[in-house]
Amino acid sequence: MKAAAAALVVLLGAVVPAAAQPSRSPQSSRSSPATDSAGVSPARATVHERARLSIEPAGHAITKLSIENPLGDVRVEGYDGTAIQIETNKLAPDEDSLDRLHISLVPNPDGTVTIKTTADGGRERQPVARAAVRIDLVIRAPRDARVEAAVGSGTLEVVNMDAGGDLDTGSGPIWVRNVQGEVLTHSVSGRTRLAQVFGSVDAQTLSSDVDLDTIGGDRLVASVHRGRIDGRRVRARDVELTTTDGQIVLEAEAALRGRLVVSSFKGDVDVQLRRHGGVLIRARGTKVDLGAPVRTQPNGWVEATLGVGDNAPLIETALVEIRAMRGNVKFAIIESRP
Amino acid sequence: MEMLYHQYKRRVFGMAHRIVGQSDAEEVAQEVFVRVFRGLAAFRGDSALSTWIYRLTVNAALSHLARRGRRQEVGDDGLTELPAPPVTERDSALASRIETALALLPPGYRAILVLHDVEGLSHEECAAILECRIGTCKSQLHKARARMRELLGPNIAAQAIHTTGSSE
Amino acid sequence: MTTCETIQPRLTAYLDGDLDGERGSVVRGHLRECAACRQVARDEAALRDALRLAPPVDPPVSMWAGVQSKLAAAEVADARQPRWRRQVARWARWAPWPPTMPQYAAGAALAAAAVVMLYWRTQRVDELAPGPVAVAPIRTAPPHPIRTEAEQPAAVAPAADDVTADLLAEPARTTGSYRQVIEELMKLASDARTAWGDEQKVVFDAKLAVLRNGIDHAIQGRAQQRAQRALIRYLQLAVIRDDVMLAGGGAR
Repeated sequence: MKAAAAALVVLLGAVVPAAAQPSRSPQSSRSSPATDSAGVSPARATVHERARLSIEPAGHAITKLSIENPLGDVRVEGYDGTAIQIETNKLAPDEDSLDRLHISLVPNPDGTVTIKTTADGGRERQPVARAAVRIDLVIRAPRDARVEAAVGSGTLEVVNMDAGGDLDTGSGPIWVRNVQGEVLTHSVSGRTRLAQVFGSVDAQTLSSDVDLDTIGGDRLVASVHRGRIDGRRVRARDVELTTTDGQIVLEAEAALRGRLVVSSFKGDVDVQLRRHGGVLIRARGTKVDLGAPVRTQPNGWVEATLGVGDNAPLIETALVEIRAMRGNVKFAIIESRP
Repeated sequence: MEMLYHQYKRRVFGMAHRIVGQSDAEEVAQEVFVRVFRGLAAFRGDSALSTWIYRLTVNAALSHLARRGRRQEVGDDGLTELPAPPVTERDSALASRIETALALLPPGYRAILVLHDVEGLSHEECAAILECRIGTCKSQLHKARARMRELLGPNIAAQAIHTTGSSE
Repeated sequence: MTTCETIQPRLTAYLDGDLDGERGSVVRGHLRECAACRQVARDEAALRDALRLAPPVDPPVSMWAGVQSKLAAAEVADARQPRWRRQVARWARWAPWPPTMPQYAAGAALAAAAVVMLYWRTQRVDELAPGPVAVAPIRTAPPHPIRTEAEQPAAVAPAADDVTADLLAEPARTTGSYRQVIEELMKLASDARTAWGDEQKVVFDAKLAVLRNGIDHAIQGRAQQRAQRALIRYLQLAVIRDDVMLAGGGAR
């Protein structure tokens, strides 16, 4: 029963200081510069308000950040500390509109911190367009906090975090850099870039490109409906890249027992592989070039076996499967390490 | 006294909740009950007890909002609590959108909607509680509902039927 | 003359049963002939009914204790006040809070108002806690997620030119974008289907039904979009790697 549970939490909260104590450095300024310090001058924004807040947990470490900002950018940066430091920047064409922009920050007793922005209908004299207001958040958080964030058309950027995250944007770009853990990203049309990510990665977009640079760990799945996938220094053990309509260009390193599956419905696929040990590759496409002698199967698959001697155990061979239903397949080994 | 508390606690808290939001609702509701108990002895009965209690609640909630708003201007760092809608298992999509939209209304509109539509009070009672003329109350109600309709988008009637999503 | 402009302001009153006799009949007559106003009336009625059904909100169990302690504190404070202050407080206790709709009578009320202001201001000074105000209060109950997401059936919400309305309409737009992609993939899938064997069709249809069911039963907004993404992945698999899909390799 909710009331009982709430009461229990209250009691616990009183006995054990598990909740966060906001300690504020009340720096807040309202000013009307033409541009903010980042040199961005949003059309017609003439009033802005900056603020800073620090939340130091007393009790639980902060385990998760849950951020929702449909009104601007979010940047989350990990650091070696326990507090959450937030810098907020609100912009609006006038004071009345600025007053409608709110940020709520709730530290929960279970170690998660929820940050949301909204524009309320509280005090408007006249309507203000969404494009005329914004709230940008820059958050420094303990590295071990998992980041769940949802952004609209703003940029969502997560760097130096160790517990992965779930990142969602509408049309805004997603940038992930130097992050470990289970990372899920999804966007309707925001360009997605992941660099130096280690762990388990799943990136999905409807109509924008995905760019992968230095990805390691057990799994990398990326799918795009319309757009391209580019990858370099991809070292995950199990890789699956898919586009419905778009090119795929990949430079990967096949782990010993790795699996690499690259497919497109429409669009050319170009894979370069640095291999360790044996590779079994099969491909199909309008035109297939594996850079090696091939066997063509009756079912249309083109196959080649590389680096596998008669005695080499097959289970240590990497499996590569490339498919371009309406496109050309090009595959090459770039350097071999026996 | 405790009996009175239990008799009115849901109405007072519910109204406070819908006007000021989740985190401040308890504080406001407590303030209201303190004023009720302290004023009860001198209550002259020139209005119904419930009207009087509702009035205390609305006034407390609205002035709390006004105070909170003012605090923000005075070098506050601009972070406030977003009113959260109550969530029950029976929530239909429309019900939860309505709670959200309510939170986005100007406070005065929120008050009249909660009093008239949620609590089911008559125009006369609302006028007594909000201390305005009946005609003013009626037109406030009309405007409040119109604003809600804007926020909720077209075809509210269809949204009220919790269809199991959209199938392509 | 009964145009929409004259009828719509009366709809609230009409729906609440405040228009009797001829005035009600005039509105009814217009509604019979005007689909637009009928829709507005339907919407407002649905809104009113939904508000009526809004669930009661239970206060936390701890609230009573809070009331008691606040009451006790107030009584202690009373006891500590100098006598003249207690007099003023007694007069002023009956005046309501700073009114948001100042419509006081006149004359005598002004004096009372002055007393109220005095009382109120001094009270306020005592009430305001010194130091930083906790604007991010400690949650004493599990937080309720803000449900800003909702699905618009068929039509997309009006592109109101105000930010708040736009934000409310956004989840529906996003779900709509997903739906469009699903439609495109379904077309490709039905083309590909013609080349499948019967068993393969059965596997596909079954999986499709499960995934669609997932979408239908998901809470509208983010959860539904997650279910839509699962369907998109499966359709891509079916269209591009049908041998894997149909061998039961399945979508993850």
